Amino acid sequence: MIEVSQLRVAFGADETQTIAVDDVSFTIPEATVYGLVGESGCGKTTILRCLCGLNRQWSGTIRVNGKPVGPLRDLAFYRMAQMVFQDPYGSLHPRHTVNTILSEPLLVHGIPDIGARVSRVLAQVGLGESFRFRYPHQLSGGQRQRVAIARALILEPRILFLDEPTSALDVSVQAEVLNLIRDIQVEQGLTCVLVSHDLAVVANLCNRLAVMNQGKLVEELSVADLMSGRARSGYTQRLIAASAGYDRALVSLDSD
Amino acid sequence: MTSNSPILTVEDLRVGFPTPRGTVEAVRGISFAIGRNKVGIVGESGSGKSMTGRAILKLLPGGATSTVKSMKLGDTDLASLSESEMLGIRGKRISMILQDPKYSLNPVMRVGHQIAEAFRVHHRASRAEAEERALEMLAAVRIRDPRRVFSLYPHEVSGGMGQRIMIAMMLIPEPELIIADEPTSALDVTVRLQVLAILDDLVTTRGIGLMFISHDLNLVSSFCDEVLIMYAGRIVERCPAAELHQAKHPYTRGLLASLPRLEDGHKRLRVLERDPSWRDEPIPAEA
Amino acid sequence: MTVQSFERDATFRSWLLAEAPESGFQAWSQSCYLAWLRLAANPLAVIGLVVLLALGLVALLAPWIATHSPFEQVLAERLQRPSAAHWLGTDELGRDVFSRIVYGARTTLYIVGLVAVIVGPIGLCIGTTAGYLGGWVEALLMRITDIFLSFPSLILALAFVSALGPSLDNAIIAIALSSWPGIARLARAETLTIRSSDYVDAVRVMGASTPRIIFRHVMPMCLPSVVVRVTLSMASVALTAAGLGFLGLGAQPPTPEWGAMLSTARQYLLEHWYLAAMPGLAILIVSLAFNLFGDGLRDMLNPRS
Repeated sequence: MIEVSQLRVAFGADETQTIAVDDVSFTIPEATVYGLVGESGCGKTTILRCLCGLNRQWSGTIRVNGKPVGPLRDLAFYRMAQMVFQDPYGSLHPRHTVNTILSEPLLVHGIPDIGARVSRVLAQVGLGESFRFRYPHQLSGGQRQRVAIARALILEPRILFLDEPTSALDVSVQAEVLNLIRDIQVEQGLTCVLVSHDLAVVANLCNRLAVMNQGKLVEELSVADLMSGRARSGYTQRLIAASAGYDRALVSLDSD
Repeated sequence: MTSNSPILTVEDLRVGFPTPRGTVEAVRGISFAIGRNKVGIVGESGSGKSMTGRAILKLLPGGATSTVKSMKLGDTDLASLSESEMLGIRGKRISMILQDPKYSLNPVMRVGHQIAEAFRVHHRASRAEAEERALEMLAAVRIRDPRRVFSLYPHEVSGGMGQRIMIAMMLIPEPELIIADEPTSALDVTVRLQVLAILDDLVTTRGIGLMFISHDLNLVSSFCDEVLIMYAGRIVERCPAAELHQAKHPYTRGLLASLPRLEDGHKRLRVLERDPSWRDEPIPAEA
Repeated sequence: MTVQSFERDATFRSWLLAEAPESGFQAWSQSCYLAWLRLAANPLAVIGLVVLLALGLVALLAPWIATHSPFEQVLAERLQRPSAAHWLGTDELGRDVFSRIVYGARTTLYIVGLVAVIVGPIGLCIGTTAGYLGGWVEALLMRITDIFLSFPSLILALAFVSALGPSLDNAIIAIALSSWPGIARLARAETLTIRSSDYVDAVRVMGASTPRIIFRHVMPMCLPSVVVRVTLSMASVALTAAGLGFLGLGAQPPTPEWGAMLSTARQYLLEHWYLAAMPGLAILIVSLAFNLFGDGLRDMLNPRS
């Protein structure tokens, strides 16, 4: 469904140029969840932004649904691919009610029957009608993220980009949102690209993942391999060990 | 003071905030003790864990009120100290490490000077002496080239190094207790473990008590010696970190069950069902 | 009050405070009500608002409030001291000062209102477009803004009015020309922060067009700051208008205008201080009211929640 080939993103010019994404290639089959994992600055979010059309300065090839796409996307693309952002407190317009936020994509694409669709998608994410006319500051973090997911789903896309969807949420709320994402993905056969720094979340939702470090794709592996520790790269092994929690014996203090 | 007596004891701490709808109690009567060990306080947002740390240092936001039956640092009664007396406690006997060094370090001062200043505030020392001490502390937090880092500005250091600098700054006056409020939440996973290891070593060798406030149950249970779980302003569970999986309170068990784990794969996560009785039902006294 | 009206008030209030609004209108009314409560918590701002409302009422009901016609000259009664017949005395042409001040409120309100209505939208549009689009558009618009900003406002107004001839409408245009750059700068600064926020990214990912993003998503966030700024600048607009009037370049005689009244009262300052003091006091009170209200507006529209 998504093919990325030799993607390269560089910011700045000449001496001060930083290469955020360095020659990355991967393929994502339809109806699977693909994880992009790494620490901050590794380029995973940059790749996601290139895929969804927010970042327009890249070189290489991106093919979505068999067709190559350029930096500028058309409405048909946006109908097919939507994004859920990380920060539930920042991704909803502070002065729009939930109803306005959810109606906006439909208005942009000229889709009729707005009222019914909004009701349907609210029910889909587990929020009742009572939430329809509230403002974002009246909602909790988990509720806001559900609205963000609803907004992504209302256009009935086939691809969903998720940028750390639960990292800003409380632990107890995270479980609900992860379950919701899994249910919707299975039910609608969505192709998802999930960016996360949390290997446990990736193991929970994804089928395959790519490990990134400083712009380079370190390795690609299946979640089964991840779980059984069959990672080939030392960096991946370090990430897996780090996600298990603190163990003084395992930390070597090579100073900074 | 023997090495077994607690460094900090708190009894029945309450913190309240005025709101248009009446006073909201963020902390509703908690009691605990910290000795020369690492005590973790875990809770979600709104549980009152950060307010606890600030209440001990009397650094609550304006308008907030706190009452406590007794609060002692060693032999000193913290509750009865005035603001000017608290100045001799903050930084000198109790230090606080905050979450993001981007915001807690002065952006227009070189980091070395900030550490030296932390020393001179509490000890009479010349500038040269304070700078020497600062360089020593930078080496103690395992920074390879202390002299070079000394003259850097906060925006020139990475997150992990910034947090080490924060630790150096907080440890230089040789406090008895450190309150760390989400000290590694803003750091990458691999850097996090290094910073914790440094903190671990320093706290153990110097016999400093550590109060580690976090939302990360996994991290706290693997790093600390004892874990206190807070919910709605009260401590609902306290146990040694190693026995956390045998926790008794349904909130703790629910939290543990709802965490995704690498080894569980695509398992559907058990959603925590909040029971309203958890807010007010009596909690068994500490074991 | 009857029991019925108590109940009516109670249900209205509970409608305003209901947790789950049932329509967009209810949600909007609720946020307006809460904004009003925030304003009402600031006594100085309320005083400012009351004074401004009083100004509006006085302007509206001028024919009924004024005791005499503001234009009627009775030369036999010129330069009279305040008395029962003329509450604030008469000016050098025998016109009743009180009535001229009352009718002057209309002129002031006309000037201030028209300038606000011109300057606000223009500054907002230019600022948000420049801030959002960036690149050469921003450079061009901001340089134009800089050019207008570098003229001292009174000099620009003078130049404009002397080119086109002194009249009230030309004075208004002149003042507007010198006021809009500040608003545009402010709107651009706010837009720079807003355009990198997640909710704008989210709307871009929906496929929304740039005009739609600017109008429906960026401008509503800039609006509070711009409204506060416009309100606060109304104070200086009133003063600039008075200044122009003082120089004879604003409202032309016999139109009553506080600044013009101040100007002609200069000659009689020593013996008839009230001729200058009264319009001066009126200008002071209105400026102060705009400032106080503008301050309160800031807290009202940008809650620190």
